[in-house]
Amino acid sequence: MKNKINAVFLGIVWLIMAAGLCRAVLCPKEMSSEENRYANRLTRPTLSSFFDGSFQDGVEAALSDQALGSGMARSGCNLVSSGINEALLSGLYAANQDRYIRIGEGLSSFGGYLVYDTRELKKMAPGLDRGAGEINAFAASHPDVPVYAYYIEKDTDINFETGEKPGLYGYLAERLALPPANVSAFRIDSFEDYAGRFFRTDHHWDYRGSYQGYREVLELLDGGIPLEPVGEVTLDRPLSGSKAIESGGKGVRTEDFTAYRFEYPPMSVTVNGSAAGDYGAQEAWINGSADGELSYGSFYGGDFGEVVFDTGSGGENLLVLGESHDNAIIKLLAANFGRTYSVDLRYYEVQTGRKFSLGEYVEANGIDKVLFIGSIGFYTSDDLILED
Amino acid sequence: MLFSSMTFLVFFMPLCTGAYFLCKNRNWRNAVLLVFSMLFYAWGEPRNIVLIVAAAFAAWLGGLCMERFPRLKKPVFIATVGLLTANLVVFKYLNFLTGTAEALTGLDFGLKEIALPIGISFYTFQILSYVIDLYRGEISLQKNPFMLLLYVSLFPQLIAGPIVRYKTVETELTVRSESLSDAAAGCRRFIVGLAKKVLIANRVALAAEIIYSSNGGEYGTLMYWLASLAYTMQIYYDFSGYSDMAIGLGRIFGFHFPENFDYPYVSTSVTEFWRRWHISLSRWFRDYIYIPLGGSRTTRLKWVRNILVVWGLTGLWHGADWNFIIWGLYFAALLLAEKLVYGGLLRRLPKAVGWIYTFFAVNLSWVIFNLTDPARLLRALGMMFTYHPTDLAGAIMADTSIVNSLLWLAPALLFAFPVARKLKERLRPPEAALNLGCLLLLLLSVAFIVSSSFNPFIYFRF
Repeated sequence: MKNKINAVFLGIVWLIMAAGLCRAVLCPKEMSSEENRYANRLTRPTLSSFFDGSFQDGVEAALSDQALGSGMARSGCNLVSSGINEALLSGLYAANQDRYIRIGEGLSSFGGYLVYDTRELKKMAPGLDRGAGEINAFAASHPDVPVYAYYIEKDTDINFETGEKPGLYGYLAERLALPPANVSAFRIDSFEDYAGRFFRTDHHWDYRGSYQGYREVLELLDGGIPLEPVGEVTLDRPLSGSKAIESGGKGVRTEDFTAYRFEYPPMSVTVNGSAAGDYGAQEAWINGSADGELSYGSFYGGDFGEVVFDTGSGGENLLVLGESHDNAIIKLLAANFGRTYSVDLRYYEVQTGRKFSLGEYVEANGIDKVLFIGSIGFYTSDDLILED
Repeated sequence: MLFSSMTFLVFFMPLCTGAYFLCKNRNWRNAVLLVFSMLFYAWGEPRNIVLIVAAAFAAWLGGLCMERFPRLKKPVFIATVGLLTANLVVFKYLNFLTGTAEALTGLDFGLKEIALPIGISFYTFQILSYVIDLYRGEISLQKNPFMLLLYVSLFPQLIAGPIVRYKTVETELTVRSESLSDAAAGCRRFIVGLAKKVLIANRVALAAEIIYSSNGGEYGTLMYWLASLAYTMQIYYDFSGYSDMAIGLGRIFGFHFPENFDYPYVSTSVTEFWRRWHISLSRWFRDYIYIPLGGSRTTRLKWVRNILVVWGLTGLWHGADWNFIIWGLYFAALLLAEKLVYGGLLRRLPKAVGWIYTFFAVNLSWVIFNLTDPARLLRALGMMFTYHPTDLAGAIMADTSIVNSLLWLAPALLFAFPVARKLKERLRPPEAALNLGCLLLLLLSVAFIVSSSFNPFIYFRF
């Protein structure tokens, strides 16, 4: 009897262990739904990847993501941990709304908002120099194509406790060799500015911030009359945004998701070369028919290498080079242009299978205006390479 | 590769145990263990696998020569021990030695930083035990180099011990029996070790990490004492958990490794503490350094010298830095004081007094052990021994994750005492209940591993 009990025990332990390996090898999952990102998968080893350790790191990451129940385990642990944290410290949070309360690596709570650390100019300067250099080089070699830059200030651009700003935008603007009228920013000069325009639990701007950004960008581009919202809706599902997930507080740290409703003109949408019904699912979320998890991306539209909007109006063609902040406004911008091309350099090559060359892209698509839009992460990104 | 990694649990273990138990022949089983042990080591240190193989080969060749050429036994023995020790000195201590020499002379020797090969201290001591015991005639020659390599590289004890002497496993390398009850007991021991490491050591580690890495003044005296306590718990659960896992894994494959920890924090004197902490290392130093130097059966002056030598070396074994030497000599001083000054008094006093004294002394030792940067060490000691008030709210706001980490100190303290063992003795739970409890612990540990990227391992660097 004792032997049987032990045999069953050893069998179960072995199966628990082997199941993770089988899942990772035989039927790996595509997405880590709990963290709203692509799940790591096993890759083929090479001699160099084995010797530099990157293969081993990849295996560990893949097995952590692919092990059966790993997502649930991760969510459960984080939920308990952040639940205890919130329960024990709710008084502390309430009494110290005007101070940074650190809850994770680079992430704090301030005034009921999850905020990132303020970036230091000396650390960001090399990246900004490189980004500005790329933009300047393109502008210099294509004087016939107007180039615009819109910088989005956010929590990384100001210390809310002291009100001090590291001057990241000013530094970038000084280095951009573009006409001053072609450079502008979404300014955050106080916590009040920030709180009225960004999500509490997500790193993106909210409906008011993104709409303000849209209007400012349109003015920068001299793009005509902006669309006006026809209503304001608060969804019946709460949002646990990217920062909540990052802090391990998914489901614990939540907020209402409010959005403006717009009447968009008819337009076709192409994502990475394939026709798509729409970009994002704003109407579906508003009328309650959307499936899946509510997020900034699932509402406004996700990050894709290339999205093309065509209103068929025969107006100017706009190219938007940016990151996820522009997801909330590219459909709005598209209403004011003939064709609007949105390229996310982080994904373009991987998702379309094509190398990106801005000069060739502009020429091939008859681009009339090029807009760079993003926050500090975009302008300092290693992906901001415009020519091979 | 760490035992507490998904790679080990989900990739390495099912493949290794599957292949091992599919083989019926002892030689094939040993071959499986050797191949997987090589893979285990190469996973973290592909290049340094040459080093471990070369060290094992040198010991094998040295042993062979000692046997074949009896007249040259002593010179061959000295040469082999010298070679193996030199290997350890070069890879572990050369950076430290040149750094110290450069600091003293102001010269720049231009030597490149040498990366420390994982587990070199452990496997060198194991190989030395083979060579020394062979020289002493306490074991017989291992003629098969692969068998000696298997002993040296056997993955359960390869990178963090226990320091298994050759004579402990000499017979089991060729003649051992695996059984269901042994495998189940080994598996349970492994899971308990994993839980100690993942559920407690990794949790409390965060508090020490946060406080010691802080440059601001948000943490006062209270927090520095808590940090030292957190580290005291971390190092115990980290290392004893790893030893449990090693012993458990060995048992699954039919090996019986020596115990390495016996509830050291119940000790009522520092002498007792070192009988319960890292037992395999203490015995190694006792048998191969302390006793050959004359041990305690010599003049008082030489005995003091022997203590100082052994503890200086013990400190150095733990790391090539001054703080480790100071840490070793600190224990030498305490042990000498217990022997010469207040040992008798300690025995007469209530046990609680002895416990408080020992815990305080050991706790302080871990502060010296932990902080290799002298400035940080002095700052920590200064904060502990001169009163600085703690703004508790400010301290928590500096990093709220410290709260969850400190909560884990309660179970850490509780299970540092033989509570679980006494409960088990009193309740005598059936095998099925033990297995079920271990299954739950395994699932919980895996959940913590996949949900956390913080998985440090202190003894990895030795």
